[in-house]
Amino acid sequence: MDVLVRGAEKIGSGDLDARIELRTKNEFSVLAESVNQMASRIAHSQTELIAKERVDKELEIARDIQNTLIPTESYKTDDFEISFYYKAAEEVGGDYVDTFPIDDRTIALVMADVSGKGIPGLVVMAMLKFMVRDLVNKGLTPMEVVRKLNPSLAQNLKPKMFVTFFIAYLDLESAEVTYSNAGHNPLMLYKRNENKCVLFKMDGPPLGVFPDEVFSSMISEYSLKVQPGDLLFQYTDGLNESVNASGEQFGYDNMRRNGQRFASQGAMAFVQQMIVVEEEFRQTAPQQDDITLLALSCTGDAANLTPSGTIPDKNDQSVFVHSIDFDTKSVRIDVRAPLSQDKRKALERMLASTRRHGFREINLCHEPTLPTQTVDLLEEIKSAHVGVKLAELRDERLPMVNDSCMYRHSTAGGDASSSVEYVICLSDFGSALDRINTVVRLVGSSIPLDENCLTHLEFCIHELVANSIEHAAFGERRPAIEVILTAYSDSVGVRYRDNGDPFSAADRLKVDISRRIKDGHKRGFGIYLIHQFTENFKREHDDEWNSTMFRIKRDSELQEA
Amino acid sequence: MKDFSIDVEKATVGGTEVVVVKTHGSINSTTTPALDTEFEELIAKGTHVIVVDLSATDFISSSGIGVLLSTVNVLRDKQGDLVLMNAPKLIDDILEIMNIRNYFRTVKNLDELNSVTS
Repeated sequence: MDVLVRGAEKIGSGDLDARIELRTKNEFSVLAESVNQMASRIAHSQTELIAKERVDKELEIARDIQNTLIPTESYKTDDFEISFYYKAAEEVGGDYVDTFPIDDRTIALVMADVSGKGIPGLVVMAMLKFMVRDLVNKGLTPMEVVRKLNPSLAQNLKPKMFVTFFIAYLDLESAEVTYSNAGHNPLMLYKRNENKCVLFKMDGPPLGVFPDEVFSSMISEYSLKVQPGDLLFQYTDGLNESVNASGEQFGYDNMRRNGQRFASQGAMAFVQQMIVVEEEFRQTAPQQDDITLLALSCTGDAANLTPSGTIPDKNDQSVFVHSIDFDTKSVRIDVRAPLSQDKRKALERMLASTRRHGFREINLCHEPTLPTQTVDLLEEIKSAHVGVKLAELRDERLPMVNDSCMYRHSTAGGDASSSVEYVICLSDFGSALDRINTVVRLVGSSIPLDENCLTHLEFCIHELVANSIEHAAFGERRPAIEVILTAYSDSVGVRYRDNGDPFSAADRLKVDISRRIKDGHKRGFGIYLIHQFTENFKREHDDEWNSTMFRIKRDSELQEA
Repeated sequence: MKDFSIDVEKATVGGTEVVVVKTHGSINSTTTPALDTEFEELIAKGTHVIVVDLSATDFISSSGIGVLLSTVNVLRDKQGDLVLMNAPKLIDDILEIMNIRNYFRTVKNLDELNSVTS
C-alpha cells in the first residue's frame, strides 16, 4: 500500500517516468499496473503535447483518463437501481464517483471532489479510488473508511489541496443505507410517502485539512432506510453552484423541486433529467465545474424489504414486544424466561390487543432453553388465539422493526426498579400520528400498565408527537422523534425528544383554559394537559434535541381488563 | 388502526330534531378538520342539537376536545347544544383537569337524551 501511495505521489508530482514496482501478485499489483499505465499514457501524451504544442490536447487526454476512472453503467437488482452521470467542464476537475459490491448483500457507493484540477487532481482521484476499495474490502465501516483516509491522503496532498468525500453502504436485504461524510454536500432523499425531498446535512470537514485526532472526532456515521419509491441522491457542487447568465445559482431549492418531479422515474432517468434541468437553467453561460451525479432508487416492493434491528439483552424481562411491522401487519413477541402469573396475563392481553389493532400475524418466539412447562403454557396460549405462531428463537435476524415507527427494546440503568427501557423511534411523520398510539398501547401492555395509566400515556405521547409535527422546524436535518419509556414500580417514566429547532412551550403551561375556551380557541391545550396529567414534568433543549420528561402514575395492582 | 370516518343521521327526540354524528377511528390533528367542517356545515344548515356518538372512537386528542368545546359554545349561543354519547373516560379526565367537569351533557343512548330534554 505504501509503495503504491509513494509511487502515485511521485507520478503526481510530475515524474512520469516513475513506476510502481510491487513484488506480490494481488489486487494491489492490479491497481499499481493501472497507475503505471496511466502514468505512461500521461507521459506519452505529454510528449505528444510538446510536439504539437497544443494545450487543449492535454485536456482531452486527461478527460479520457478520467472517463476510465468513472463507471458508466447503471447497476440494477430487483429492488434497486443505481445510476451515475458525469459531465465535464472546460477544465478537467477531480470529481470521482464509484460503486462496487462488498459482499452478496452490500454495495458501496462513493463520491468525492478533489479541489485540485488537471493532472494533479486526476492522480489524487486515482489514488483515492484504490485506497477506498482497499479499505472497504478490509471490512471497515463507512465511518472507519473516512477516518483512515485522512492520514493517508494528508501526506499526499499538495498544500491547499483538499478532498470532499462521501461513502455509503447499501444493505440490499434490509434497504438500510449507512453513510459517512467528509465535507461533502448534503445528501438528498426523496421520500415517496411524503412526496418531498429532504436534505441531510452531515458532520465532518474535508479530507486533508485537519490533523488526524481532530478530524476523527468530527466524523460521524449515519443511517437511514429507503422505502419502495424513495430515491437517494448525491452530487458534486458543480450542480448546486452552477451559475446562469444573470449570476443566479442553481441552488438547493431547484434541486429539491426537480428532485420531487423526477424521483418516481427511477435512478437512471433521474440523473439524466437533472442534467437537462441544469442545462436549461444555465442556458448559454459556461459550465464552470464538473458535475457528477449519483442516484439510488428503491424499486422493490415493501414485503421483500424486511428490516433488521438490535437484539435485546438476554437479561431483560421475560416477555416483550420485540417488533411491530405495520406493512405486513405482524408483531413479534419474545419470551425469554419462564412466565410469572402477571406476565402470563400481560401476554394474553397483548395478544387480544394486537388483534384489536388489526394485526393479522403474531409471532410468538421463545428461548429454546425454556422449561417444558413454560413451552406447554405457550402452546396453550397459542391455540386459544387466532393468528398466533409459536417458534423457537433461532434466527436472530427475523423481520423486526419498521423504520417509519421503529420500536426497540433495551436495558436501562438508573433507579428503575424494573430495569427495562422501551425505545420508540419515528422518522416517517406522514404515518406517525396513526401509528404512535398502537405502538404505545402494545408496548405499554407488555410492561404491563393498567388501563388508566395506558390511556394517559397514549394521550400525552400523542400530543407530543402532534406538537413536533406541527411546530418543530427541522431545517435540513432528518426529522427524528424518540420516545423512551422506563417502567418504575409506581409509575412509568417518559423521555420524549425531537431534533427540531428549539420550541419553547413555557407560555402554554400558564394558559388560562376557561378564557381560551370562551375565546373560541380550538388548539393549544396539549402541553397544558400533559403538564396536568403528569408528575416531574420538565422540558429542556440542547443543540440537537428538544426534550420533554415526565412520569405518569401507575397502578401496581393490575386490574382485569 | 381503523380509518377515520363520520356517519351523520337525523333523529327526532321528544319532538326535537337532533343530528347524531358518529365518529369512527381516531380523532386527532389529522382528522379533526373533517369533523370541524362537518359541525360547521350542520350549524350552517340550522342544526341546533348535535349528539356526538363516540362509541366507535378509539382515541381523541386535545385538538378533538378543542373542536367539541368550540362547537358546544357556538350551539349554546344559539340556544342549542352538543351532547356526548358514550364518551370515553379520557374525555372525563381531560375535562376534569381543565376544571370544566360536566361541561358537556353526556348520555349513554338516545333514550336517555329524551328524558333529559323533555
